[in-house]
Amino acid sequence: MLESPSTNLFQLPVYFPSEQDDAALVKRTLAGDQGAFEGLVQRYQKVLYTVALRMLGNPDDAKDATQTAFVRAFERLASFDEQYKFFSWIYRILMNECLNVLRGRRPEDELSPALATVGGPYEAAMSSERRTQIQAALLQLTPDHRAVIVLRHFAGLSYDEVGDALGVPSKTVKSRLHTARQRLGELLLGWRV
Amino acid sequence: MHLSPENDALVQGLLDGTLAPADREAAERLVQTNSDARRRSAELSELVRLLDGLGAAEPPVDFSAQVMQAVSEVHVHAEINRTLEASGRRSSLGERLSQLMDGGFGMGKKLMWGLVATGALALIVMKFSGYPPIDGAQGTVGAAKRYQADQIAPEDVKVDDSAQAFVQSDVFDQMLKDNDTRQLLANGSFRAALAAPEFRAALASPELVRALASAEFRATLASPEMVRALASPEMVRALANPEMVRALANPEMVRALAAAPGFAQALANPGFVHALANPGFVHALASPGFVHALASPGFVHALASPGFVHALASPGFANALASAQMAQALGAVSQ
Repeated sequence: MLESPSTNLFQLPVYFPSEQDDAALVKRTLAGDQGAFEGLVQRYQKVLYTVALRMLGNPDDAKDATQTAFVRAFERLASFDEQYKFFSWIYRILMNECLNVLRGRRPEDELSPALATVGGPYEAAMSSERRTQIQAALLQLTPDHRAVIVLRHFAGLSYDEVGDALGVPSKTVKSRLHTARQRLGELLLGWRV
Repeated sequence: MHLSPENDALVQGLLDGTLAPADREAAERLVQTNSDARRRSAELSELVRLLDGLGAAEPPVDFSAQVMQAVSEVHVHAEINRTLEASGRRSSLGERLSQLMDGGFGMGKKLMWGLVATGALALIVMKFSGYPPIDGAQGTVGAAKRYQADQIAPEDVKVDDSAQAFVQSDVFDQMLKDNDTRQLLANGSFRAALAAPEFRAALASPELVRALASAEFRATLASPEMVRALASPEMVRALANPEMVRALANPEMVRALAAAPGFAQALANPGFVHALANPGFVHALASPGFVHALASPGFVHALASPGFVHALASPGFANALASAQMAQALGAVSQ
């Protein structure tokens, strides 16, 4: 896979796929090569699933939302404007799907008992209870604030890219991000209001 | 803490790595010289550390395969619907296909049907519907070859009046409404059977296509017993045998199946299906003598009898049926 691993200031490994690679895969898919789309799926499945999981807090919902996002992307690929980045586009599709799921939830559905069972090696170093607290705090944010945290932190997107994914200006992203961090700090670290 | 919003933005920008060089220098200076900024930077770093602890999540192991199945299913649907729309018949066959594939089993939008299952089901329906045309052997064989491809191409899906008639038929309604059939179609092993290349190749055989033109044969195939039998591994293996397909597609066999529901049930009996794993037995079934014998109601009745089916459970009996002598005897019976 032609990706260049990098590291953001959050110390999480973030992969920046080549836009040319994405564009080539999109073109091949549009030409009828479904294997090319599988390349896009394999490239983005982990980060999209992570984003969906952090947005929704439930592995099953995250899986469904991610799968739906890929399917929607495939269905609408012909309408994809190549002057934009594929990953910004699919993040936008995913976020819309996540927001749809959240809108359809009852309030009591927000926190999932499955939270402690998900995650990767990073989580192994942290107590299950603490992980649950962190995910629960994320779920207490408004969807708009949660979205900027998740896209910025877990997907490693820039302010502009988050803005593209959410359909808002980067200035709004910045503002929401600061507010969301403040709220998370209050919930998790006892920051004063 | 008394950090101005502007300075807070600088600290957060430093953390995010989004500052222009001049702003970054200013932010670094601020953190070095201002205790509130330093404390704020430490707080934010702690928050980031916590979020880091949550980390990335791994999707299910087979996730990409599931996605590609769903994608391919959508592709098949789209191609079918596009063709149907182009032919002006979207409101009938297309809707009913969607009903069968999407909502018929209470799966909603879960997209549980895989590519091959959907493609195979579409093939079944298309073939049940009388396509490809059976009045020209060349066209039939050409279409059969195309059906062996991995997915349906737009040009493979054509709708004619017989398709229209089929989707409005009682048989199709039976498929849609019958709980056994629905449960079976939703069953993983049946879907796996549909996915078997041998099964698909059998579906693509000109003989079977020709047989499927018979409403009686279609009705028999739509029976719960037969559908269940078709899902069995033995039947799938048997259908990989061209002789078996030829036997099933023989007009006499079709007539026997249509005229004697008991024989169809016998064919669907586990013992009978198990016997089909014996190539010799299949050869016997395909022999002219056996086929001619099927014209005799008494012979068909005997085949459908519990005793015969029970005897089939014996490999020796099945082998005996497969013998040349038996074939000769059957030929004599049919005279």
